[in-house]
Amino acid sequence: MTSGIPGWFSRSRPVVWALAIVLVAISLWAVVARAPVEVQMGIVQKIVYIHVPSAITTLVAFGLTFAASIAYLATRSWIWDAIAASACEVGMVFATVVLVSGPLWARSAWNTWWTWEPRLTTFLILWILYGGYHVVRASVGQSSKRTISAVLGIILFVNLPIVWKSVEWWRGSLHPRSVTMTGDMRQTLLLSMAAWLVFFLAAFQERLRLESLRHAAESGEGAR
Amino acid sequence: MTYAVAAYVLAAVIWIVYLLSLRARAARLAERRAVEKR
Repeated sequence: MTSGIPGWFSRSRPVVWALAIVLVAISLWAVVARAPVEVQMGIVQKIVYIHVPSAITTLVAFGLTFAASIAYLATRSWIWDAIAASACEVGMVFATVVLVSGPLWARSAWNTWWTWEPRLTTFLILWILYGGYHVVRASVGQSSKRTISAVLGIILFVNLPIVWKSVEWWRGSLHPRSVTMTGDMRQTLLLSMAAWLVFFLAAFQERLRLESLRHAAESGEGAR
Repeated sequence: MTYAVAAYVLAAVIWIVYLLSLRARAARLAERRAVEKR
């Protein structure tokens, strides 16, 4: 993967999309029909099946940005920069879903749309900083774009463990440290996680194709 | 109920808008390449 996108990866795009759509459809069916209504919070608790998988996928995406940024600095191959930028952009979309679904749940569970508790605050900071990654990437010159993006992709990774551990490190967190779920709830959550991770892969491949087209346009090569 | 439905509908809207923007950007790039080739 040092010179370009492997053929099998490009060819698998329709299959991954089909799998993602089927899995997301099954997970939505499970959310509606299989997962029981939580006794205390009621039906609004079903937001968990999009909120938590989106949050975890965000961390996976930004983790991939971190790994690809290191690989870019080590190899200077454009493909690693493309992977880092693509994962970061798709991760931002998942993070936006988290920030939109969270307040809707909070309004019902905590009687407020927003509160400056540790997990919400650190996640908002994460969203703003990774948004900054794209602003910087779009602002700097072509010659230094990849290097600066890679350095940012590595530095910003520091935020991930802070978000993850925020409920333990700071007092006053409204987010629970752990959640007890019944069998059907747990299975639906795991299914949703799998579905949204595959959906991430499909969207990531789509975004990577765009980077490949851009690279081909700039270098005069053929894109996959 | 309303909040739960709103969360899923808004998530769907976010994804549809994003995927359409990806498609539009790819089409614009392909068009630019076609013009450059001519």
